[in-house]
Amino acid sequence: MAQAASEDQDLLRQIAKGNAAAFDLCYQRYHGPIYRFAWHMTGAQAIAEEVTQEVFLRLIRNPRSFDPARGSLAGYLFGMARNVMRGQLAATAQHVPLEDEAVEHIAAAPGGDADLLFDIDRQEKLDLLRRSVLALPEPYREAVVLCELEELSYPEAAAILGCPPGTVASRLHRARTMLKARFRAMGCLR
Amino acid sequence: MNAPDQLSEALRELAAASPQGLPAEVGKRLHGAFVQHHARRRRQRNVLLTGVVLCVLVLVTGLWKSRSEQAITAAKSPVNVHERAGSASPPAKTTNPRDVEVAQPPHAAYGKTTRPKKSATAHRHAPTQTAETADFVALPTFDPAMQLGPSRTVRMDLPGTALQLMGYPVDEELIERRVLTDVLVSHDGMPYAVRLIQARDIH
Repeated sequence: MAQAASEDQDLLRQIAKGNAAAFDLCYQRYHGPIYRFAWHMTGAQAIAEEVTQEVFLRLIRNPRSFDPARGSLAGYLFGMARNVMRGQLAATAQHVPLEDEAVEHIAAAPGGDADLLFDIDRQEKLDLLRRSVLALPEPYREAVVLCELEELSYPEAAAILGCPPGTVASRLHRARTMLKARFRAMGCLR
Repeated sequence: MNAPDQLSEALRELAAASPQGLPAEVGKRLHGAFVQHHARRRRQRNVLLTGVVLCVLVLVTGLWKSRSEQAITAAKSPVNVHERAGSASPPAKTTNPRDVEVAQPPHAAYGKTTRPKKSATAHRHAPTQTAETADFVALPTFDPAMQLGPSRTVRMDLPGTALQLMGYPVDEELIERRVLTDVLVSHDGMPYAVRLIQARDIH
């Protein structure tokens, strides 16, 4: 996903000139990651759609605001999505808390064989994992979504989050510990 | 398989199972927004450009008009009128009587040379000091804003008092003398400028 800076710059220059093909290319390249990031962070499809649209609308309105010296275009778009998301969440005060009932239900399910991550069907397992990620505090959630789900490197994630790569690594480590503890508590993990 | 690997595997599965992108309609909407935005920007740019071009045109036209008016004003000055009139009498070698001597007659009968004083009136009515305008002195009857028709130069022998009555700034010494003068007369008989040729004593 990380594109060369010169390529990003060229793409942005073409977009600023009004080249629709360049915009389509940029959209095709980045809308998926941005949308998934927003979706994993908010847990709401509608908000994720709005956030992604807003990010690209802002890019349309002001493509020259991207400064290649400060990071990649992907990082810039993720950062923008992060800001938009915060604004949206603050406006709607929407939170998607972990539903403890569901967790309890899964935890109560028979799961004697601890060799597998879950003794439940795949869809339930993914749903539980998604909810567990959503239940993480925001800084840890961001680290998990960017580094684990979107497979960004520590420096890339650090550029988006505005912190040193070491901080990203420690947040990720802490997030993984929290996730494992939760699953252990449910008896889903050895 | 240890716990971290299981967790990583589960997270990879979650990433793979996540929606991969927005519906196609959203992409089309954004594409439309992009096209609209740039069409609007192009319109704004064109309007701005047109405005700038118009401003430049107005400025150039204004300058051109101003220069034309200056040229017309210059053409209306007595000397130019004189030149246009194609006066039969050749311009005399005398110079502007405001600051230069009236031509000295070759014989003593014409009296001594005088040098009219530089009065404020003379300065006010004097034409522009150029080589071309050094001959004639505009009279108060001359109106630069008025369109002059064909004019002619008449050489006359006038008393200094007559010159004074016409509005010419006459020196005290010239009042009591006669002066050979070229008078620039318009088609309606109005004298507009004079040029002193020679002065002589009244006998």
